[in-house]
Amino acid sequence: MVMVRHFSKSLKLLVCAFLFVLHLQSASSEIINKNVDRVLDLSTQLTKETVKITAADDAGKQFSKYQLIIPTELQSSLSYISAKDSKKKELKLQKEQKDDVTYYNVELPKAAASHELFVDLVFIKQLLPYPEEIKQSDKQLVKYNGQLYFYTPYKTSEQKTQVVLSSSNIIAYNQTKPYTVSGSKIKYGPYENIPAFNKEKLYIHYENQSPFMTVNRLERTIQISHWGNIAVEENIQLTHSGAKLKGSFSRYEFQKDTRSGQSAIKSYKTMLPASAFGVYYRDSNGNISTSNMNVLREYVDLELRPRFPLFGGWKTQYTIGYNMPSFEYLFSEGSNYLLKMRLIDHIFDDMFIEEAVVKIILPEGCTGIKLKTPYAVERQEDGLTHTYLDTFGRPTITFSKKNVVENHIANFELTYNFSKVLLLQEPLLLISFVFLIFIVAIICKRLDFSISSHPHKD
Amino acid sequence: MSYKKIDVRLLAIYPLTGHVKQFVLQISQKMESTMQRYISPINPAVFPHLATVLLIIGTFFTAWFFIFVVSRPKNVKNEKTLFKELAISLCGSVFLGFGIMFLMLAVGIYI
Repeated sequence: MVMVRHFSKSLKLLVCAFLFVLHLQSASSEIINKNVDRVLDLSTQLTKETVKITAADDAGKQFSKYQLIIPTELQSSLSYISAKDSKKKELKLQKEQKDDVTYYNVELPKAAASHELFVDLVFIKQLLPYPEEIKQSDKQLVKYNGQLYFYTPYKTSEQKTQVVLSSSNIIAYNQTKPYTVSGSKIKYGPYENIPAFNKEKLYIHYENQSPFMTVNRLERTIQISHWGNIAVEENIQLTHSGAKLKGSFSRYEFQKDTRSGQSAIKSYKTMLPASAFGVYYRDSNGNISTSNMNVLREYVDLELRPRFPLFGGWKTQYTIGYNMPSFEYLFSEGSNYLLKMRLIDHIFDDMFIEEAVVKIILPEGCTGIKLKTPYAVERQEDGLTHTYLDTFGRPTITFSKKNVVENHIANFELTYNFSKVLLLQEPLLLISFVFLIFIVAIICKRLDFSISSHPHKD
Repeated sequence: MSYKKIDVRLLAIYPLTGHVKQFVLQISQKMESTMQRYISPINPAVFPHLATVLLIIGTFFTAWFFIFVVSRPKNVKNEKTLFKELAISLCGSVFLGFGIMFLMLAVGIYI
């Protein structure tokens, strides 16, 4: 009996020891970034980061979950994040908030011992003009404050960073060896064995003359007509968000000297869908005549020239509108309709919109409205819009999104029900109105308005 | 940023007028599997013509109506002409109503 008890005791110990070893083994097995290749595009007003990660488990174990992490101080300036696998297929990202750190959990399609990931990140407001105020003929200099190493919760064996700048005029930059500078490019690395959560700073002060334009507010209205038209109108409030203009503006100097006003925005291009027609460009004063339109095969190219060159801190406001035939974006099956079109469209290259408000006006009498957006938006209360020949108003869907960049150009889907008979509502309204005038004429003819009876009455 | 497009040939038959038109679309998205592209019941190209013709006919009826009302002999009983007046005005209002609507569509007020 004693023997058996002793044996079971030792067995327990053995099992415990075995579990402990197992535990140790699982702890030692962790994901590491074998190779990180980073391209940092700072040539525009946005910070575009493309990262190629080769992640592997050091014990050769299979894994299907990978975490991306954004430093707390950069969280507010992150506008867009996406991850793709080696076949360039979009991967699902799940946002997770732990304390004040934001994690993005990447769900990899299948478990493997090593994965290749492509991560796209777009940051806004990270390039700050320095000096903050410049004279009319000065060049615009900006400074970049970012991360020298890719910020990650995993150890990194090897990492390279290529920084693309807008000009070769670099005033100051991090000189962490090894690095090479060639023209407007700085190559950092390869750096080896970087610990996790490394927040080494990267600082670059350089010349950036690309337009720094911020759309403070975009109001996009899409109006559907079942007589075969989709009308789009965009109300845009624009600010030059680069270095502010110091002193007064001299028109003489601006016209005479070609180097003057380098940081000013004279004109820019907007791309409209290929089928756009009836385009207008105006503001509160009326039509702005300084615009050019080129109809190309794949899109309509609109060259817009504001009424005045935009200097740092200057603002402008305008409206752009166009029509499109309904067959481009509207689909139907019986009385079910599907509107599939761009949530926002191109305004200028490397655009940044602080707040975009999209309003969709459907024909009167639409029911069962369902909206599907490519990313989370803030949906506002559905309302009614009253325009021409309306009785109770057209159902209107409004939603907004903050911090929008070009990568957010994607299709939304809106389904609704509409009975074709309701198309006759507008003509019937007009017919009854005209008929009413006739009735009034008939009645008036039958009334006697004479004050006294006519002497020659027969 | 680029608009990547594919060519799609689309044969459209306008339900009301029976016009057949062939479009070559450059579109960035594939057609929905079960859904058809929605086109207007009337070809938008004929909106101006339709507006002109309907408004001319409507004006003719209106003119007829007023001439009929004004030149009506005084001694004839009111009730006898009422039916004819209503008939002419109804015809006139139908043509004018549709005419005005197509005029609005033709000038770009998409209702």
